[in-house]
Order: sequence, then structure tokens, then C-alpha cells
Amino acid sequence: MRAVVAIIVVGSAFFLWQGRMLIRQKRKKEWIVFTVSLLIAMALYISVGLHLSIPSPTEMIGNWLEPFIKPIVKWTEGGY
Amino acid sequence: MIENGKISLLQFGIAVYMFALGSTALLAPSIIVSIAKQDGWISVIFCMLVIVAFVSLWSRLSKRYPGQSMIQYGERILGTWPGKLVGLIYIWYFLYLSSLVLRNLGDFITTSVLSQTPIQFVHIMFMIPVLYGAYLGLEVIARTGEVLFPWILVIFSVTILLLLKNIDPGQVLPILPDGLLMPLKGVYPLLGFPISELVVFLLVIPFVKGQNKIKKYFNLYFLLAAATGACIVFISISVLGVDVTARSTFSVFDMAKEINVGNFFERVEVLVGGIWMMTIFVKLSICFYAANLATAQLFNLRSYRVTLLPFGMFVLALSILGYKNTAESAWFITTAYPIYSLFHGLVIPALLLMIGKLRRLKG
Repeated sequence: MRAVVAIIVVGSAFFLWQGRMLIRQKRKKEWIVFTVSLLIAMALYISVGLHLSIPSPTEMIGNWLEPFIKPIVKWTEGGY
Repeated sequence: MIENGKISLLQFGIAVYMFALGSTALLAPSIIVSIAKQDGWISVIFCMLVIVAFVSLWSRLSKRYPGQSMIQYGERILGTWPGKLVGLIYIWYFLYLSSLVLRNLGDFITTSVLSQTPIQFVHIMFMIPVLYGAYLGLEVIARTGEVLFPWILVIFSVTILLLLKNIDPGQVLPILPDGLLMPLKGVYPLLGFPISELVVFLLVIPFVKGQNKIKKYFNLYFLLAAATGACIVFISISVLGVDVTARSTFSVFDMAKEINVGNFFERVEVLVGGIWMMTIFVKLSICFYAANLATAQLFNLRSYRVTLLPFGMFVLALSILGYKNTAESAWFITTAYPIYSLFHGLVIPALLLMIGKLRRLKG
């Protein structure tokens, strides 16, 4: 739980500091990209902090590519 | 201009060298040796042919659209929305690659050097200078590489000299007992890790001074890195033997543990670990910088620095989530990652080149 609080505090600090600066400079597009990417990053970090069962990208990519992997593994692990 | 910096050809070459060695030299020897056995070093030599082909493709692409990065000409070639989709695919790839590199370093530090330290702390501590380097820009990252490069060469040379008495050439014999098939099998993981990863330099090339010599420097330093890799694998096998090299996760580090001069000069493996921290720093900085630059180019932002902090946080989270343990990482590198990485390093650039030629588009 402490990790989640720390992530929220750090994320909010980033948002207040850089987000405010971008609004003051009237850079709307930059502000939107910054806010969206920060929200995605915070959501991901919080879910890691809470140990939610998100599949790892490695596992997901491995599952997607399974049909291609099988013959290659057979080839590399096979004998001479 | 989103990035105003310019780097020299030498700085570009050094960045290529350090990127190619990066975390590969730390992890790849055991992976290659587990497939190709004592002929693992020949696999790395075979890779040189692949490297020349890849560099040729990337150079053609960058020569056709001078002064533009892959994100920019991707949009021109494929049209706005498919181009943006390709841009997003690359942003994800660079962020994911950054997280994998960071995790490799974290695993190395927490298993071999600071075993009591939490991996998250190591990641955060390493990410701070990377963020700062990316904030300062390409010139600073390239100059950092230039400063660190001689140290890498010196430490590497001294390590080899000190290991000379431990080298047993008999360990690499018999050479090619089953023909060329086993070393060819050993090439497969290297196609993804690191060869295809160097596609990231398609974002850096527009900022290099002396565009007409890029192919030469790209080839030269990439092949130099491959030669260093072949040398590392050869020494690993001849010092540790095939079985220990294949079983050890960080065989280069274990190899350095064998250094013992007169029973007083020993435990210098941390120095060797230092080499990999330097190369990983450069690799991670370039990947992370490229992810931010690609985002700025894709969304037409005025500065690439806008996304530094959010992406830093994202990479930190993804590095923990990346994979469960080193066994899963080794499985991924030897099976799925080469295909996944080839899609970004070979398939998309080749498609861009072909479609650009068919549509007769030029920079």
C-alpha cells in the first residue's frame, strides 16, 4: 500500500509541476499527451504495486507468437 | 526542430558499438552456447553477414529520405493513419526494449553485486541519470558514449590479459563437429537480440553530420561489436567450458571471477560489471530518448521532453512487470523475441522501402 501512495504522490507532483507549466505556456496538445501518458504510467505502476494479475508483455508476446515459435524451437532444440 | 543537436560520425559509431554490446554481451554468451555449444563463437561470426544485410537495408531507407526519421517518412509512405499506427508500434517497442534493458541490469545487480538491495531501488537509481541524459539530448548521450568508450576498451583488454593463463583452447575443440548447422542455429537468438534492436538508429541518423558516410561507420562499428562479442564468447568457453557457460546467466561476470594474479589481485569482477553498466547506460539512454523523440514526432509536439517523466515512470513499472524470472527471460530471448524484434527491425523497414519505391516517393 505504501508503494501505491508513493506512486500517487510522485505522479501528482509531476502533474502539478509539469502540467501547470504546460498550461501556463498554452501548449494544449503537449498537455494532453503528457496527461494521458502520465495516467497510463500511473495506472500501470499502481497495478504493479497492488500485485494485480496483469499478464506480463513477455507472456503475451510469447502466446501471440506461439504458432511461429513451435517449429523454431523444434529446430533449435533438435539434434543435428 | 524537436531536436537541435548534431553528432559526429565517430560519436554515432561509438553509440552503435555500445548499443550493440549493451546487455547482449552480458546475457548472450550463455544463450548462444546453450544452442551452439563450443561453436558459439562461430555463430557470432556468422552474424556479421546478417549485420551487413540489415545495415544495408537501414542505410538505403535513411538515404532515400534524408533528414527525416522513420516515424516521419513512415507517415509519408503509408499515409496518415497507417503511418501513425506504425509510429505507435515503434514507441511501444522502444519503451518495452528500455524496460527489458533496465530489468537485465536490475537482475544483474541484484543477483551478482548487491544481493540484499530491492530491484526497484536499483531501477530507480539507474533511471535517474538516464532521464537526465535524455533530457539533455542526443549530443550529450553521444558524448557520454565517447567518454566511456576508452574505459570499456581498457577494462576489456586488461581482463583478457589477466585471463590469458586461464584460457584452455582445448575447451573449444572439436570445431564444427557436426558441420555448420549448430552455429547457424546459434544465430537465431542474435537476430533479435541485438541485431534488430539497432533499428532505433533510424531515429538518430537524421542528426548525424556527414550523412554520406553513415553506412560505412554503421557497418564498421557494428561489425567491431560483433567481433568483440565473438571474442567474449570464445574466452567464456575456453575459460569456463561449455557446460558452465551455458548454465551461467551472466557468464562474462563469472569468467572475470577466475582472475587471480599472485593470490592478491582477485575479485575484480566488479570492474568487468562496470563495463556492462556503461554500455547498458548508453543503450538504455538511446532507447528511452528514441521513444520520447518518436512520440514528439508522431504527435507534432514542440519538444520531446514533455513525455520524459511519464515515460520514465512507465518504463520503471514495465521493467518489474516485464518477466517473472531470468529463466522466463532466457526462454523469451531464445524463442519469441527474435520474431517479435525482426518484425520491427526487418519487416516494417523492408515494407517501407518497398512501398516507397512502388509509390516513387523520395525525400
